Amino acid sequence: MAVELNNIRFHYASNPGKTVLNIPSWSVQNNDHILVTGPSGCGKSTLLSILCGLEHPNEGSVTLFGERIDKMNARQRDRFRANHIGYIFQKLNLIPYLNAIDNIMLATRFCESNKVTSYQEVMAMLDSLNMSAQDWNKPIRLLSVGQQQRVAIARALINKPKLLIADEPTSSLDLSNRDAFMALLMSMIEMTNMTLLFVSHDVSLSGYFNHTQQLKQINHIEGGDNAF
Amino acid sequence: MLFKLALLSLKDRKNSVLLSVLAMTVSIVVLIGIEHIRQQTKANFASTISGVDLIVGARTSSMNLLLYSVFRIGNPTNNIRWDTYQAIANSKQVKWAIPISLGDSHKGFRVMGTTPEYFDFFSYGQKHGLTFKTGSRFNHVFDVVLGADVANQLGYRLGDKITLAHGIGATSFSHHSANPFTVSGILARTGTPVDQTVHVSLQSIEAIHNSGPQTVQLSEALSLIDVQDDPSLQPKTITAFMVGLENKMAIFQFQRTVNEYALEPIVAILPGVALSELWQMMGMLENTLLLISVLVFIAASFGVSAMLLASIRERRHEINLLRMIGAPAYFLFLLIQAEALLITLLSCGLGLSLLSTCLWLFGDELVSQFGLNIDANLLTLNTLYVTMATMIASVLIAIIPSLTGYRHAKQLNN
Repeated sequence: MAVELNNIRFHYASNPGKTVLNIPSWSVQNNDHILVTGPSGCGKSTLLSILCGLEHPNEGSVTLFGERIDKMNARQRDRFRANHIGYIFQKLNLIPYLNAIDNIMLATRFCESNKVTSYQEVMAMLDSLNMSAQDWNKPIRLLSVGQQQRVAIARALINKPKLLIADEPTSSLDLSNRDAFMALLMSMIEMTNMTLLFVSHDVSLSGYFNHTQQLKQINHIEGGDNAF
Repeated sequence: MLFKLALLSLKDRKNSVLLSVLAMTVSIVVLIGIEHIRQQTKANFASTISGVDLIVGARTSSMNLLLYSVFRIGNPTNNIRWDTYQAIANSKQVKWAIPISLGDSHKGFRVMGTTPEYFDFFSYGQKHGLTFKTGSRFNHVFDVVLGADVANQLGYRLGDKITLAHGIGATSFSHHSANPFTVSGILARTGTPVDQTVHVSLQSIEAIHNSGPQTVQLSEALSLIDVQDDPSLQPKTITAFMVGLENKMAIFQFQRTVNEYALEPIVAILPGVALSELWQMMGMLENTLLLISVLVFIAASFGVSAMLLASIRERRHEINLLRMIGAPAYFLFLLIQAEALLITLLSCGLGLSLLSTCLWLFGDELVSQFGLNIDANLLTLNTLYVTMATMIASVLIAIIPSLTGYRHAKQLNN
């Protein structure tokens, strides 16, 4: 199993009365490509934070690839994240003042298994993402949104993570860019045995995935969907 | 990577960073400038006189005697009689004694009457003797030996004729113009008040004050050897004299003997002791200046920290992102520390270059206007210490924004 959640309960320390997550049981198979849909504000980003080890559940167990990350200390979770998880945000995926190559190299710095990534590898990856060489050394903020998201894919994949989490990466793209992005992403992970967890409110993307799940089927918050 | 990231991040915010760097640079110029000038002045000061065991003058405070006999500042309260000088100079504990006579001036520079032996026994710094840049000591009554600054500023050369004025103002109404002096030697630079002194023989001081037909005759080249027994040129009083003893262990005992001299109220001082007493008085002012410059620096460091603190809010996404790619929370702490350190480093570099340039450009002005002989070379051990102290201080003060960055990184979603 890539992801196994059991009896997860979570509320923010600043608001202990409001349970944000209540997940009795949820799992994702290895090499699965799964789309999780749901409106914003239903605990999506909290769930992803817990999977990344940035938040700690109040109750329950979080197992990624057989390792209990809820039992790890903060430093171990940081390391686990750097080594095994790739992440693509909705936007602001990159450090705006670094160029594409430095943004990608920065991600390799924290990954222990990937100390030897060379500039050649980074360039090859950018090349396979159809980035023209003249844009590699420009600060990220000078690139278009579509180009930025392509660099973000490269950044997320450079360490060859076991789990790739994508948090609404297409919501800032127009339709043609969205399709180009999805096609590129899927082609990049096709040949790997990576597990993809893709979160979006856009149900029309489901054609790209093996499974589609609604978050409200996973997260059983008392008081129904509109508890917020 | 950490420093590259810090550097590029600072470059990305160059407007606010530039202002912080400017504030920091100014504070470092003030801090290192004051510290450098302080050290240089202290070193100059302590090396004003050496090798002289005692200075003897009319009874006054040791400070006053030191000021007029060594620094040519202020006026002697009283002269001492020539026979008192001779009585003490001839005692068997005394190895050498050099009389000095002050009171005249030449274009604002003090004139000091002394004996040719002065050039043998007076020393400064690490027992450096006086050396001549050109010419030699005075052999004739109306010969004059100039300090380096005197020759330099007035443009005198060997063989030039000059006249002395009575009193010490730059413009005096009473010139001893009947007796022109000839420049016989120019001393090498010492960085002490010797540079600003016009040296003449005791006999010439006596001669120019004896107005009369005989003095005209004297201005013909008279050898000092020829006149040393001439009673009309024998000084009746001198201002003070410097003493070197046979046995250094006997200084305090000899000092007591001099202080108890019954025939005239005189006092002997140890130049080293008096110098450090004087320096302690100046030390108060000095420490105040240093304190102010330290406070200015601390204020600038807090300014930098405030800038960094304000930047954390606008860098929320950046922190988020770094965390997501696996950067531990302490990486953010280090990143902000690195930024503070880079700002300080840059400011130190700028400050030191600015200060060096200023000292190099205005060094001559400092010497002529304030008599401050400051080395433009800032690369001393002391500057290194001060620079390191500024680094440490800025790192300590940057703990405030760094901790904030760390805490932001710890609790991302709040």
